[in-house]
Amino acid sequence: MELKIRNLRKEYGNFPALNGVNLDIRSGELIALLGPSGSGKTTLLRAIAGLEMPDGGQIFFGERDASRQSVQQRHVGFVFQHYALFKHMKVLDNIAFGMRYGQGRRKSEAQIRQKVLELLDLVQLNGLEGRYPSQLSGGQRQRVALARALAIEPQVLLLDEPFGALDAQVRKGLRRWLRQIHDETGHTTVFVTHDQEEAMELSDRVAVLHKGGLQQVGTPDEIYDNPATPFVYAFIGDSTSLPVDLRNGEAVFEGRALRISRVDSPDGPGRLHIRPQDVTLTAPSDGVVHGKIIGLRRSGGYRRADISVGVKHDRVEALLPPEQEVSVGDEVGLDFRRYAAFAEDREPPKLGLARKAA
Amino acid sequence: MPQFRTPSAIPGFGLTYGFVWLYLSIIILIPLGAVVLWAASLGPAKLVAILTRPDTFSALRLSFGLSLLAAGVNAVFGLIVAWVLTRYSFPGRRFFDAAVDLPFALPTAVAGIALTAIYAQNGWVGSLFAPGSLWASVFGPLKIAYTPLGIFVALVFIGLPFVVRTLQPVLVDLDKELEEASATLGARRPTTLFKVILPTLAPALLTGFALAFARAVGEYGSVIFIAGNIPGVSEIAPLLIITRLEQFDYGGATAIATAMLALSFVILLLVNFTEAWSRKRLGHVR
Repeated sequence: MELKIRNLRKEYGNFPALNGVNLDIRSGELIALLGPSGSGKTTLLRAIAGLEMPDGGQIFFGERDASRQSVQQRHVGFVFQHYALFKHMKVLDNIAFGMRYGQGRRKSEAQIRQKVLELLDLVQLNGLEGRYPSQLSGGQRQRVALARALAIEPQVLLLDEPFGALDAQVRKGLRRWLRQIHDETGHTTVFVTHDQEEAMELSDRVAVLHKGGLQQVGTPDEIYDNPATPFVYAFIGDSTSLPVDLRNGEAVFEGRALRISRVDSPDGPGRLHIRPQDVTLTAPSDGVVHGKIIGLRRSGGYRRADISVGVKHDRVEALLPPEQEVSVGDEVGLDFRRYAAFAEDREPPKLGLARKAA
Repeated sequence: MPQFRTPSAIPGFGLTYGFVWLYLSIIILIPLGAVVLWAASLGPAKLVAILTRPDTFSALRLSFGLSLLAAGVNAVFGLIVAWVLTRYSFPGRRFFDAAVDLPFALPTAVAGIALTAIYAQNGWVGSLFAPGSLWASVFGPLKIAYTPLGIFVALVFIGLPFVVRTLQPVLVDLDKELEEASATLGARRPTTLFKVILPTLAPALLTGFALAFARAVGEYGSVIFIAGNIPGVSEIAPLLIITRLEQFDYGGATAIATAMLALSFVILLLVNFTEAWSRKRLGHVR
């Protein structure tokens, strides 16, 4: 089932949760809605399900306008972060709920049981149909919740931070497993996450949201390698930035010009975004900028160097192979293999993940 | 076997356990034990004779029957009241919320007199059903005060806060996602109500029911004013006990009291078992 979202708007009081979102979701794809909290990603997901009534805009399920349809009529599978299993029902009755009381064609109890057992097999919980949810672990509960959502043979599968309440180890396992289930069943799947790693690893495409608006939609590669906005650059992966002047397709940092590919930015103050792994160290006389190493930290298979550059002591982070001989206090030159420049954002994104120049 | 002297992260079991026994003994077990002992001293034959007297029997039936009925009605309508007070916000919500507690706070005699004044045939509500009213011309006149119906009204009045107050915290904590999950699975609202919400509320509803019932069985003050106290018709068991006492028939009084005690205990025990069972199903194992 193909989903088309047209100019969707939703406000809570004066706070715009969604301001005119347009998004096409392809049939059979697994798409992640990624953004920090308050970005509107969950509101968008709930609006697709019909759990939230938008103030304006339309949602198409294929050719059908679902905007004014009730939750029940939309026939979507929804998985909640905290499972929302019916505690007074056994696993079997939880999964059978939609088939027994839903809007679809009535099935016989034997057919329902058959289907439940098939789904339990799919989610690898064979033999647990007689348990109550309280007797299951968090990961098992979420798999029951998924089986319950799949039982109604939904047109779309929507997951709201499905692994958010689980610990890291279980989360990684379930992530891989969800991808597998998606490939087996072929449902159009939309899931919400604030975990970029999860979004990048799991999905065919990622839609990045910020302040109720779509920032960029693309494959994980596109999002990572060609961020469309400074927000995406800062939100996805590590990056540092330098203040530059944008002039005729060049970014000028303290008199030195860097050619930039993105020249649609207007001339004026801007910021140059660089990922730590795209910084190479050269002799102090070479390189586009010069600086001094003020800190070295070990980070996995690499070393991270904090480098103070320019007269204002802006900070740039570099990811170095451990065999490179450097020490704190060294004067170095810096080359940037890749970078992007954007006009100065009057409100720079405030994110824990983005390391802004000090 | 419980270990009394093991080092524990939550010490004080021995002391508090002893206190519980002492306290329960002084407050509940010894006084009630005395009642039972006194009644037992009458001997089985006399006991049976007292309890099978028509006035005793009908008073007990009236008390327990009406109390169960009133608790049942309160369970239904108290649920609706609690639902509205927790789920919706509307002008005057705090006022209604506070008003629910009034039956707790009011001296029961005041409640009884007020109810009698209103439900008597010349009272505000009573006159709506009195001979000559619209109701009477369609269904025949209905007398509320001075009949078992009046007792029922008083028992509903005093039992309501128990149901509302036990349900409110549970309703506040009721996970909205459960209802949303039910809706996404295609269930219509009534199905969600009966298959998802009510089973989740069942333990609290049973507790509220038990409390309302227990209060109604023991209620005296508000009932005697509205009941009319016609022996065999609208005479409740607690009143019969008082009557026996006034006649210096202590044996008779304790016999009826023991019967009430036993019946209440059995009913509350049953409710508690049902509640424990439904709680366990919900995964709150204690």
